[in-house]
Amino acid sequence: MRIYRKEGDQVQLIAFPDEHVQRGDYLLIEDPGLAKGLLVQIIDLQYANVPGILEDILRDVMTDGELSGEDMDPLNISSEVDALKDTRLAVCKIRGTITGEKDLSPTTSWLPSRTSSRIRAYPINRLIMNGGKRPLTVGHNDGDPVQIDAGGLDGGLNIITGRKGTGKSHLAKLLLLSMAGLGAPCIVLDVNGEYVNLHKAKDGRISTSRLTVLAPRSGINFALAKLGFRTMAGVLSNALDLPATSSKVFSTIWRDLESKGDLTLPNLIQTVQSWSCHESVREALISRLQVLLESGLFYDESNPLTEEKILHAIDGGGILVVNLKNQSHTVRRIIVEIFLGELTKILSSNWLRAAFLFAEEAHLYLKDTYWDDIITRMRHIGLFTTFITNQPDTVQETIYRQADNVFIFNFTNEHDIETIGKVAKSDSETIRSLIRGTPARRCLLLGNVVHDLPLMVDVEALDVRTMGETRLFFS
Amino acid sequence: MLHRTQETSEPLQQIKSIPEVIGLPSIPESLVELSTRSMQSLQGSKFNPRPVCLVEMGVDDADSEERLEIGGSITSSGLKRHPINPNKEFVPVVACDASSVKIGETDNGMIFAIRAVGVWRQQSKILYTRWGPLLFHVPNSEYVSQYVERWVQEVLSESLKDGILLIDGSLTAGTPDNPAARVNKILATARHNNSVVIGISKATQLTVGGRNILGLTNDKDTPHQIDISSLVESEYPPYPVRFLGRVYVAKLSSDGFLFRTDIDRESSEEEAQLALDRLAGTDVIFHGYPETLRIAHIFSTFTANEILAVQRFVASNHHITLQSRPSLRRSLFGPFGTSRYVA
Repeated sequence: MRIYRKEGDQVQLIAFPDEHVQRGDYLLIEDPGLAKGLLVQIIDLQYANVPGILEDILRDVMTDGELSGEDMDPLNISSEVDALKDTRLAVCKIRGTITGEKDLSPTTSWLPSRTSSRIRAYPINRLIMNGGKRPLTVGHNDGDPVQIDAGGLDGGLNIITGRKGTGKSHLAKLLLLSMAGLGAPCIVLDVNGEYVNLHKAKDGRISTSRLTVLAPRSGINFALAKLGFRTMAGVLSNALDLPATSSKVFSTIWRDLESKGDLTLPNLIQTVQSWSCHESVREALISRLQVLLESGLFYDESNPLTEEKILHAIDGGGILVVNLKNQSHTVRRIIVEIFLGELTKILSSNWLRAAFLFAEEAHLYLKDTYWDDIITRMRHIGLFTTFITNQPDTVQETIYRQADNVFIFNFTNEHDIETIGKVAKSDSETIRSLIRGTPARRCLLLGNVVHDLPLMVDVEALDVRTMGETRLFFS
Repeated sequence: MLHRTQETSEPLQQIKSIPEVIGLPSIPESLVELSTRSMQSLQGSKFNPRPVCLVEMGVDDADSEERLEIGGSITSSGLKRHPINPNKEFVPVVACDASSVKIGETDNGMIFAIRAVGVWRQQSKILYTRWGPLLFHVPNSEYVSQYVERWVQEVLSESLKDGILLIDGSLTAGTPDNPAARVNKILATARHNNSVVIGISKATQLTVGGRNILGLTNDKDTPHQIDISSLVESEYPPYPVRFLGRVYVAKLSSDGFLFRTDIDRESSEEEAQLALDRLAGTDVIFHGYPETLRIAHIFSTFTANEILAVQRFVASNHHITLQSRPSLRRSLFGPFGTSRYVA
């Protein structure tokens, strides 16, 4: 390889056909005279614009159809011509400078020699692990295993996105199992019921993963008295859109029943029906409480799911799957609201240091106002969220700007690529170039986990029953 | 790219792609040895590769023609135009062309690449054979390229029966680089095989009354030829340069240009006329230029990419030191120092 030119933060290299390079590769341009090297990443591969190539190709086209013949080429120079035709131009982004001690610095204000520099592939695994103590194998890059430090996922906001069928859920499961394996408490909001068999290998064996699956009428059973006023008020206003005036009446009724020690959903409905208030307020309250009653989430208030049970399920590396499959939009919102409330209580009470929430297609159950709450308030009490979505425009721009780690799979739609390009952890040119045309299961890693060195990874296969594949008719 | 825009009254022979080897001989061992020996002399020397850019292409491939001024005018000379009537009776047409290009300079010479092509129009297909490129480290390429081109013409004249052999350039010979004996041999071999050799020049310096012969007629003329042999012979000394062909100015198609056309002078006027009629009827005439000869030219010409490839080959196979000499013209004249046609 040879340096061709530098423009801004890009370097263009000439790569001959026998030199194996691909998009996403890291190269080190070592200048022996200066004892340092420029670390660059290939973001695009083009054909080198060799003079006369058009004439060559036009001539080749002639022999494709009407003409045929033979070449007597004793020196085999035609192979050299073919090599030049396939010479590539590697467009690279400068990522930093590696000094003699292999330390990476962001300095890019120097130029390596165009004549004496040596260009070689540079394995960045060491830079990415950077002495981290919790290696997490996410996959491989050109055959070499890629490990990230799980610490990079700690305390952050993560986004996994990509086109349908490209492997988002697969990566989410990999991260989930790995984090749980490292003792991290994990909760999954499972819209499609694809995490429920995560503890089973493909051949049916049960793994060591500690998995608890909850669903309405199958473990999800709440009691008003245990949930408390704050959570229930949140459910009514956020999940069921109760107007503020009615909320005030609800508050009065709640206090009344609470003081009598008679706080159950049927009692609450009965009390509202006989309460002295405006008919419209009564109507608003009754209709919403009726939804709660019919949701089946309060079917046995004598034996409810409590914070203690939730804590027990996740503490020390357990995975709690909240199965939202086949639930209505409203019921999903109620469940999520309650769980977020319960987690807030657990974390605020310091029963847990932190917990990791994996939220699939969160726009289906999370109210707009909650996005900011999750990335600000809940983050500070120790709830670290990973959003998983195939519709990047359903995630607010502010989320992209504040994301600590972003895992991007293939996108072809320009609008989606445009949205993803707003990620603050990398420049949009890198993202646009690297994610176009990537095969399924190949993912672009950005952010803390890769120390801001964008990395393409073929995600590791998982020996678990994922249940996430699309059900097909013609199969 | 092939353009076939001429108007025809009858459909031309359909060209089919049938891969086939013509079975022509490979490059003679002596030529390969000459190439190898000359290139071995390079070992360890310094090599200044020719700068390559697209606008320079064709510089070394330009036709060089003898300059000849013929006094008087065409009308005062009594020359007549004879129509060319395309004869559709099929006749095999074979065309050949060769190109040489400078690859770079050394302290004691230059490296040239030479390639020759033969294109063979058969009844239902066109086949080609390409010989080379061969590399030579010599002070001058003229002799070697003439040698290679004549060798290909010999090979084709031996292989072709009852056909027309088209060569790029005239049938003028008699210089040290271009001995008349060799051209005579080619003509004789062709005659022996009942074939006719026609030389077609893309450019000529022949003038009549101060006017280039290629401007003798206007665009609206139908296909025709003018035999200017008598004019040429009367104005030009018989030695050392010899005209081995009848010299015509020919327009092979209505939409075509005029070309100087030389036909073996041993052929009778009738035979020469018939050869032109058959050529016009058999080969696709693109702007008055035979398609086979056009393909031969395209396939032999070196593209900039090929020059770069050869430079890379030389650098990696002959252990030489690449050295770019400063351009005198660029140094002296800056951006005005390099014309479109000057390397």
